[in-house]
Amino acid sequence: MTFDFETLIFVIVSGAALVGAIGCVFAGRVAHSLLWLMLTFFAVAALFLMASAEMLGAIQILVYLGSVMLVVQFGVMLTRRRIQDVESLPTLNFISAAAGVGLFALVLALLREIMGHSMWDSDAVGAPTTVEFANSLFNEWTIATIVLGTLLAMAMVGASYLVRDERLINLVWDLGDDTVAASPSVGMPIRRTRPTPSETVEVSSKLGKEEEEE
Amino acid sequence: MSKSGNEYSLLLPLIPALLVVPILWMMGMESYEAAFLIVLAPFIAFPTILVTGQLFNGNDTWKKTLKEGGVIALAALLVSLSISLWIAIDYLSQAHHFQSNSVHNWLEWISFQVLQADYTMTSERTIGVGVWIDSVTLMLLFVATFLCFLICWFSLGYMNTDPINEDRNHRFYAEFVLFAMGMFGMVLADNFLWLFIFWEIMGLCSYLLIGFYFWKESAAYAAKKAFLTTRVGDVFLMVGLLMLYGIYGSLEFSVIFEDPSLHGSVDSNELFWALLMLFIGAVGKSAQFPLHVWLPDAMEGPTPVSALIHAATMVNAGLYLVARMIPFVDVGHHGVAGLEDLGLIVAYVGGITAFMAASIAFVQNDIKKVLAYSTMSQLAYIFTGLGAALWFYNHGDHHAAAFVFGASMFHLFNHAMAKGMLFMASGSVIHEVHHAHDHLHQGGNHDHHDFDPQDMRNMGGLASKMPVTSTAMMVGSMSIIGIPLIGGFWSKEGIIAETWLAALEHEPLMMGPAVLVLLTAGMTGFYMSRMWFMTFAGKPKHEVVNHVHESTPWIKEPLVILTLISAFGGFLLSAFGMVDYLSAEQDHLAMHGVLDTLKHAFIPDDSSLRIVGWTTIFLSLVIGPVIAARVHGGQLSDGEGANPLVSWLVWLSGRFGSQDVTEISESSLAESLQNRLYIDYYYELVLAKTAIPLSALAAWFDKNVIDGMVKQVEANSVFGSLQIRRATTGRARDYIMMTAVGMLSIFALAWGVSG
Amino acid sequence: MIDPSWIAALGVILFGIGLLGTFYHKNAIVVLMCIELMLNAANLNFVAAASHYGDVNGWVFTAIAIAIAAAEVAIGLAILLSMYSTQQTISLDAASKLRN
Repeated sequence: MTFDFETLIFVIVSGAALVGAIGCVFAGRVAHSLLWLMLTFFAVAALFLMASAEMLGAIQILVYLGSVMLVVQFGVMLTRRRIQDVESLPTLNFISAAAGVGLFALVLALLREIMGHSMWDSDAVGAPTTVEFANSLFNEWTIATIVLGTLLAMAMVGASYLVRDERLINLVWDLGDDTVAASPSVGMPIRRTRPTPSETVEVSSKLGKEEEEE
Repeated sequence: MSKSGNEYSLLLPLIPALLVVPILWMMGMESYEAAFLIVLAPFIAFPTILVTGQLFNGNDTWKKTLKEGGVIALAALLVSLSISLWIAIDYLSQAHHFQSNSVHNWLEWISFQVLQADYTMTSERTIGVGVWIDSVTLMLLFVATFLCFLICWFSLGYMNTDPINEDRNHRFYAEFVLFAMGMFGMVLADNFLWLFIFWEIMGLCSYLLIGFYFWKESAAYAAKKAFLTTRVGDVFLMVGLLMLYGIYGSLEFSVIFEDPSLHGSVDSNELFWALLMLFIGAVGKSAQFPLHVWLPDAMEGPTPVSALIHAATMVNAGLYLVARMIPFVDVGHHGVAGLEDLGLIVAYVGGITAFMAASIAFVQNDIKKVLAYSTMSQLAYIFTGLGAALWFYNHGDHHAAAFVFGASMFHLFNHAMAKGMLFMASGSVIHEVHHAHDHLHQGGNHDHHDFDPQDMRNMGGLASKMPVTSTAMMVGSMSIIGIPLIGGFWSKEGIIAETWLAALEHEPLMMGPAVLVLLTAGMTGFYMSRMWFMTFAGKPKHEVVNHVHESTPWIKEPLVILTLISAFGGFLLSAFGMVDYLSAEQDHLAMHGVLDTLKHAFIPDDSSLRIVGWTTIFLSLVIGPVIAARVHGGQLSDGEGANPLVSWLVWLSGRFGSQDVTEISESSLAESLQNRLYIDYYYELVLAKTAIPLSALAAWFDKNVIDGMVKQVEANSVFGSLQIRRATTGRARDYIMMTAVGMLSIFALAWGVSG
Repeated sequence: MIDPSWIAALGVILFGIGLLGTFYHKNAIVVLMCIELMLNAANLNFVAAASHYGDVNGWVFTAIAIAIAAAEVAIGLAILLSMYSTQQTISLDAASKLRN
């Protein structure tokens, strides 16, 4: 057997991917899980590079590792409760067993199907270039690109709306009442953002005064 | 309560109803083509009255102007009446035109193929919808439409002025109109199936109307009794129809009556049983022995109901059915021979019922019950006549058969008119006595319920207070009794004479009915006179009488009309030989003129018949009424006057002296008669032993097995859904799991299908 | 180039592991991460096929998938934070208000 450097690299990289995936699933703590996932993403990026999709490899690292994982990390930090134990599913035990078995069967079947698929039999053509990719993205797939942009914008708006701080006291402060303590929602321990009854009374009385004044 | 000038405006809606016939005639429609409207008009009126009555219940206009649906009913019935008159005139003036009697077969209603024993299908058979008009139809149609109309008129005054009926009248008129539809439809039907359908509709309406005051337990019981008793008859009728179908392969009159003997291939025994089953159905419907038990109890219904259904129309349904049996036995026109026993049975049933009913009527104190038993008795007369006709037709004596058949049909006419009027008059009496009682006891309610306005022992001496009613009742009673020259005489004579003829010259077994019928003539004289004298003659027996006055015009007018018809109708119809027109082509209703009848009645050729005739007249005219007068008659109180005829009669009744009958009235015979010869008692005993346990068993089955099955299904589905509900744990993880599993299975399935 | 079917096979296995992870965990963040894993596995498949055929559309799909995954993570975490602020926990077991 001729020593194929490429094959060796492939084995190492795919092994890393697998290890990362398994580590993500079976890690004890959330933060560890996150780190294992990052390993997997790196491996996947490497695989992209090996498949001559350099642009995609770069995108993978930039987007996934650079932003997605960061956001998830923030999520982990902001929800600091310790959920240590990874338990097996407490209910639906029969179903979980069935699901496990089914999953395994599925993976095996998929493997066989994909690897034996006729599509791999055709002659390999050279991989496309990045220039072709760019052309395609901006000419053929213009609408898709624009829509994607819109989608990301909407996601941004939506996400920021979902995590808004609804306390009335913020509204009052926004309306210009300086007597109220500024209550930025950053840095403080997050507590209930729904207003408590006392807050409501206090604030609404202030609101009333404001309207009287104006 | 008199009708002010305003109330005549209520009749305005009748004008369009009157115009229907002229419009149709001008449109060129033939009278028989419009026959369906006779049934259609009440059929449309029924839901109209019901729905508008429910919608406008309590509305003033509805109550005053439309009399809670009464005017609508009246209009519909007027349409039917006018069309039936049109048809009658048409028929009488051009009898040949109606040669094909099934004048119209409009549409094929049910068509089916029959699987035969050798597994081949026969050709298509149909049951259609159409009309069949011949002389029998006409007679009954006229009687039915006319009386329905008049009694509806009557009930406008009767029902609407009774406070207990307030806001309930729409139900009455709706059921009334539905019943009318049933009767008209039955008479016009051109096959036995539709006859049966309408027969059942009438049975239903009889139940509904008898149980009109359903909150009274006695009324509900009576309605149930009526329905169930007639139902027994109906079962036999159905069996008979099936047998007929088996023999003839069709139920259409046009098919069956064309050749009832099927060229001699019909087995007379089979046909005998089929016709006997039909006859039992008729027995149930017309309240003959042994299925007569429902008729007296049926008096629980309001008086118009009694007048219409149980005197004038529904009970004639049985007679109609028997009349339709004539073609089967007419050996002169393709009938089947060997069915003489049928005629004998019919005559016997008639005779027994006549005698039995008359004897029970002797001891009745309720005015309506007397009339009920009288109905039973008179219908039995007609059955006897029909039995004789059936016998004669089968024997081949066409002349005698036609005569007695015509007499029976004519007696039906007379009886319907007279009995309808008698019931209406009795209603008028009851109404006024009730009002007088209310008037008297306006303050206290103490003996409100103990006072029975229908009890004749509370009356007496009403002749001066109610002139029209008393005259009407007098004429009606005379018609029923068969006083010479008045109504019923012209027909009763024929029946009695021919029955005796059959008995003396041909069939000794006919002696039974013949003798019974003769005796009953005398008994009729007695109990009808007794009724009249107890109510109208003599001194008042209760203080209520002093406050009675005559009824509203709504009630009086039909009485007047029917009085005239009862009194003179028989004479006129015989005189003008109008009935000869009816017999132009077919001999089914051949009647002779006046003189012939008189000759036949008073001086028949046969000496033995002469004796019979005179005996009848003597019994009914003299013996019966005189005895009644002795017991119950008497002068009115001093200072009271009445109509000339009536007052003469009252004076006459006082002339025979008086007789005390307390001994007889307390005898055991009287007691058993009062208990209706214990027939009811034994029926109930048998039912309690057989039918009620069976029905308890059926009820148990229904509740536990059938309902149990349904409940089990319900319980199972509840259990199943509870189990399925356990899958909705609400936990996100479980949902993820389920989603994934579901999608994977779909994927696998799709893959399996494609790959 | 290496046999692309192997890359696809790796994708399948990663997908299976990711699926297992979504069932297994009750911490919402870990579930999100496993979903990301599954998406990546799919991307792998795309790229393998595209490179084999020389068809650039496969790469485009992959880029779109990456972008959408990013948007989804953002929203998912926003929801997560909302839930945390009301219930003080991100265990999926606690999200059972839809229980019958």
